[in-house]
Amino acid sequence: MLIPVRCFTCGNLIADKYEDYQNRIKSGEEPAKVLDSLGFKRYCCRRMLMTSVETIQQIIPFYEAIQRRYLEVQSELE
Amino acid sequence: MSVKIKGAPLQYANALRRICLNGVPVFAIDTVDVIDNSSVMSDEGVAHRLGLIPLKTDLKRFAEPSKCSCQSKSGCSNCRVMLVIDSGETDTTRTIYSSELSSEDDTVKAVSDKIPIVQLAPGQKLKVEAYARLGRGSDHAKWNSANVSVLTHTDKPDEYVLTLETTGALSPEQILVAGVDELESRLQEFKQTISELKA
Amino acid sequence: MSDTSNKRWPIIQDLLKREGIARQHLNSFDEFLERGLQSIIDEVAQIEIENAEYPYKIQLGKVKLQQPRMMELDGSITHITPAEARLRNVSYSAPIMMEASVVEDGKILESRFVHIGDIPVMVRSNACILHNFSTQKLIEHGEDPNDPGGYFIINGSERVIVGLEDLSYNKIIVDKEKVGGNDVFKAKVYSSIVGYRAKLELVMKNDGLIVARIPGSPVDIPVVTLMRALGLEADREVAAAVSLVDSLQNELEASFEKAADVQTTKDAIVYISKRIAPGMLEEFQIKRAETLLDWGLLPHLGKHQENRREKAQFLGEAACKLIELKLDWISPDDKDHYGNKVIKFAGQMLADLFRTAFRNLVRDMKYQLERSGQKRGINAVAAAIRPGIVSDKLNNAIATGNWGRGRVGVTQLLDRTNYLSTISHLRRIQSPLSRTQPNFEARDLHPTHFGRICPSETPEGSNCGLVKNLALSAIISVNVSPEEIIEKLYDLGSVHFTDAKEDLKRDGTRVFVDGRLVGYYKDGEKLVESLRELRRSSKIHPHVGISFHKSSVEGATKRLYVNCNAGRVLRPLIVIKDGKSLLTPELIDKVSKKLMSWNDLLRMGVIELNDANEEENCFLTLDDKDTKKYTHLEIFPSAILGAGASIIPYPEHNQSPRNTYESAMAKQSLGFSTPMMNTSTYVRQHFMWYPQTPIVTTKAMNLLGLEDRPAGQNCVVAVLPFDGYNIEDAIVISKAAVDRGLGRTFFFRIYEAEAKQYPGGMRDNFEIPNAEDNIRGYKGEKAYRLLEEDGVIATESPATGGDILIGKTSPPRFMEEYREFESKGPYRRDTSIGVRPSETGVVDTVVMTQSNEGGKMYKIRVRDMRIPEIGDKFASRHGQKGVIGILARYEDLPYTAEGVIPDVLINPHAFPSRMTVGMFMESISGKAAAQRGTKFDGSAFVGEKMDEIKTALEGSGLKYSGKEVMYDGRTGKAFPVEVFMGVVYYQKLHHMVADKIHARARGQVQMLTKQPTEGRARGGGLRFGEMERDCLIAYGASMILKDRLLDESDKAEIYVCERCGLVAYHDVKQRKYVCRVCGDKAKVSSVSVAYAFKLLLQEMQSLNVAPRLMIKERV
Repeated sequence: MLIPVRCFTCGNLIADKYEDYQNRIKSGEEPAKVLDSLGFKRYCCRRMLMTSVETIQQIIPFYEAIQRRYLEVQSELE
Repeated sequence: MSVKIKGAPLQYANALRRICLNGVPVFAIDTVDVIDNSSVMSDEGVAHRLGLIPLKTDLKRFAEPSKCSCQSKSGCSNCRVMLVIDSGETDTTRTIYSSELSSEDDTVKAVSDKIPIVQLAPGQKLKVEAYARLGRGSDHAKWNSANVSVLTHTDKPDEYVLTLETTGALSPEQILVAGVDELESRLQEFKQTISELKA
Repeated sequence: MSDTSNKRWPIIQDLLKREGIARQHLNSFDEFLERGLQSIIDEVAQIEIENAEYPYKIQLGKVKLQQPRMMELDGSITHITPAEARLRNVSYSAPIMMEASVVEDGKILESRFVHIGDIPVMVRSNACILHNFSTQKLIEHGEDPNDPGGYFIINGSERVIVGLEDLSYNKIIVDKEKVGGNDVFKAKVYSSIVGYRAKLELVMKNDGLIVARIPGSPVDIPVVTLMRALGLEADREVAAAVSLVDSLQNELEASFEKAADVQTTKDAIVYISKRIAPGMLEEFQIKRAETLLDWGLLPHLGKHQENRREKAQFLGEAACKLIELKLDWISPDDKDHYGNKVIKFAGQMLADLFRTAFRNLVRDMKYQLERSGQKRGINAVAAAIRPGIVSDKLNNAIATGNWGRGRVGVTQLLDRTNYLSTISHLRRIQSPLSRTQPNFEARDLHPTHFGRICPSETPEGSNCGLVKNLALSAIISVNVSPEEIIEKLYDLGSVHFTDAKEDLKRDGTRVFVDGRLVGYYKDGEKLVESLRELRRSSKIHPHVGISFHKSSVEGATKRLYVNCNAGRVLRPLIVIKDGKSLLTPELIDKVSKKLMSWNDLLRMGVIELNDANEEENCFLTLDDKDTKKYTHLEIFPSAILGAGASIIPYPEHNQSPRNTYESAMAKQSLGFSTPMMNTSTYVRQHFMWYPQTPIVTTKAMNLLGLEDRPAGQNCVVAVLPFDGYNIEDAIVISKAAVDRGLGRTFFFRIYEAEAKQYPGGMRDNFEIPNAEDNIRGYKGEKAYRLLEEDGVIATESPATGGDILIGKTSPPRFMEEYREFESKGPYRRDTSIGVRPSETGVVDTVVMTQSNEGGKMYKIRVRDMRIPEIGDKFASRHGQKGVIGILARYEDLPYTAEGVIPDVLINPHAFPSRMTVGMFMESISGKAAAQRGTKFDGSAFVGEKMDEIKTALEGSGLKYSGKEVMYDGRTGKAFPVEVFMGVVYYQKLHHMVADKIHARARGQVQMLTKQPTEGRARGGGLRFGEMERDCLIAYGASMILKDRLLDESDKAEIYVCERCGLVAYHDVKQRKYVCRVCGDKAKVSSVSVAYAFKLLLQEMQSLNVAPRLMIKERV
């Protein structure tokens, strides 16, 4: 689903920095440097950010489509 | 934070390490009443995420429910804090962050405003009432006081370094102080038990 | 080697990305719709209505398919999508329309397209509505954009027709057998046309006589006689059809001798007819023999009289191969050689079915139209068609997997455990060989499997080596029209066998297309060259296989085979020309930048597709630096693995069986199998809450889309014992990590209920069954407490075993029954659906739809959160499986100075004997990957080398060895040795304690034997088996033995007559014991025995055996 709130291994809060991490990676920054600057020095936390898959991103579009259909039907009815 | 412990035997030093890890109570959401959840995430899933959000803790103002004077199941303002999320309607996909977690007590709030809790598609809603209380890490890892509590050896005997790191619910200093108190009270309790055995 | 072959990865990447994972299914099905259907109908061509008054014909024309749709109960038609079909439990099928014309006296009177039946449509095929949909559109239709397709939806469930391996058709395969110390030589041919095949066998025993075995003939026919019957009368002609080489012709002596008294074609036919239809009218006998020659013998060469010459020629060729084998000029054909195999997919399988179904339909039509007599015209024809004949046959076959003629298990339910298991299932190949027989050679890995079949991925046990999986680089050939190729061959100078001169026939190369001799060519090697050149310049289809066979023996026949058939397993190779690889770095660059596709390379002749036969003519290299002597360059070494094995990092460092274990286990791991959460209709579905993509990946994982659909989590793993909680392959998991979401999964189960309508206006009702309504099977008020007014449970209600989810009552099964006995009026039965006895959960979704029978249907999805607990099964990607031995307290676990407390502790004993070095490599590279911020590539053979780890780890202050100083969490003392720790990807497997835990004190018993039931679902007992019994006997614990086997099982008091020793009974009304044999003289005593024993006595009595118990008073 979403990024886990904490690192499984050490319990460090990671979820609040994930978006930042993602954006900076996308903008082409070097992943190791980003992780360092976000304060993740242990490999347990680093792997959380590097490998978590937000599966919800693949599910949400289905619901967006449903809502669009719903709105279309609603407007047709009116 | 690192402190050097001198002259204490390893057993005591390690006991302190263990207490710092999960012997000091901190706040965490424990009960979640789901009023409306049409999100993709299941109620249990949302509750689990809420539970793991570190909450700023004021140990002086609150008591653990088991030790609270109210002694009631539902709790009172001294041992329980309600936090609410109400997403309302959205027409775009959006993420609910911990900033939307509004607390009835200003001192108990998420350490960070940017923790994503759930993502909502248009038309979905999330409305929950969550109750946070003090608890111990031995019950659930969400109540772990320090997330890193490490005791390393130095070259000299009976000299150790205790390193603490926290998520921000309590400062390492607070944990250490409370930890020492906790250790003391446990030893007292132990002493008490022993003396009762004698008699 | 590694870096240079890594450069060639984009080719394989482009290939699989473009073609998709299920191309073989889709191609096969599309071809069937495009050509197969039509050819089966063309075979029938017309139906003659033999009617005394108005004889006429129905001419069958073109077929076309309409859009997939379903018929509602009221007869209206709804166009459906796969998602709807899954949700509503209907079949995703499309109507077949066929043009039918009424022909009278050669004139077409009327014509029209008529509906002849529905055919299930393969998802994502050309006939599927999802074909060529964009991602956005797919999502709008509730369809997973990453779904590979290639399966059918029958009554809502997804079924795959797994590829079926078969011996090549129309190919002469020679073999040597030993029978009683003598060599017997055989040449076999499976002659096959669409949906029909006939086997021909030529046998030569040590007397040198060659006989033919034909289906439909009870006796062997001498081959010379058979050739004579086919029109080769003169001995010279017959011998020439075999070979013009003297030493080969000499071997025919015995055969000629045998056929000496049958010299003409006519005599030969008579000879055959006498043997296949003895005792019949001569006229009839001849007719039978002729049909045998035209239909039963080599039907792939044609079914008409004019094809007989060619058949004779074919027999000659078979005899020639047989003699060459006998003379040891050639070696026996290897049945396990992949060049001698084809794989049948959905298209071919459906062709078999459709053929019989369509013939049944035609027979039915003919019967109806002939009977109806008067009515004529196209409307009468349309009315005579019962589309159900075809629809039901196809639907039933795919739904059950029964293909008729004893072939079962052809279709399987698509595995949706995780994304990988779906992919792997779609690439699975089944062998028709029996799994009960050893078939050692057939199970072995064959050199020709290289790059075609995965060497690791096969099940263990009875199916080992019979069930295979396609390698990533494998491509299945499609049908190519042989006519074009034949034309090309003549253009190139091949001479038809009727026109060939003697010396060409003797010394030249025989040229075969699809096993059919088309002619001769002087220099076979040159012809091969020019044919391949044509293929490389895309003048002929890339799937055409060209192979040249010659023996080292002087005078042996040289043969050139050109294969155009579908189902051969091809693999792409880079062509080396003049010692140089044609794939230049520039071309690779263009492919990786998507400026070019692999198809362009194919068209340019840079790469080509080789079947196993053609590969025998190739000389391959892996190294692009030394290409001088070679003909082809391997593209990418990792691609020899299949989907299942290619998720393993560094597999080349593991002991081979470990990779096989992991390939099987990966399919049981829980993850994210599909995003179709809203329409997900899988009866059982697991879903991992926080899945992670492996930090040490392989190139194939990314390519297969497994990084978006992961099934596992990266765990910090230390190799360390922990108080004995991880002995015998158990693993210790940190309780804190579990609390934070490690290994957390959700389990979904769908419960279904449908309100059916019965004849006589009765119907099922959804309601809360009322206690006062005289309902059979009423389960008590408590069970229904969660139901709302409409009889259905509300979402988010917690339900446990036995709670009713959907209240439903049904009318009595038999109206008349019980009426005599029961005074009350008609009762109803309770057919409510409840949660399974041993499961719990929360109601997740309630869906209401209409089934295709028109009834209201509910689907209720119950969700259950599964937090890892002791006994749950986990595995790394190296066949290292284990169950949780303890959820260790966080503070007790060892820690490093950095503050890392491992998630998993695995026992060091797991390694020495299993030699899964790959797991160590994964562990260190996982750690290194986390430190350097990018994932590690552990692809087989070409993965990142260990030097990379050194830079990454030492740069961040960790040791290159992967070891760290650790402290015991309980004492705070440092361990005397450093501990090996790293990041390993762990999979949670779907064997969970929650699904297995079971105990019983008292409970249900079987009706017949009164012994406790078996199995968890029935609340059964735990078997005290033979070996357990042996223990007690050995120990002498007789009372415990009696307790287990009698008292706590099926102890029963029976009454036995002491006089006759037979079972008596107690008559309650008369208040006395009765022995029916001895009457008043009986002396009845009660005895305790096992009820099963009483049953035995009575069963013996029913067999006219009188077992007598001679009993005495115990002193």
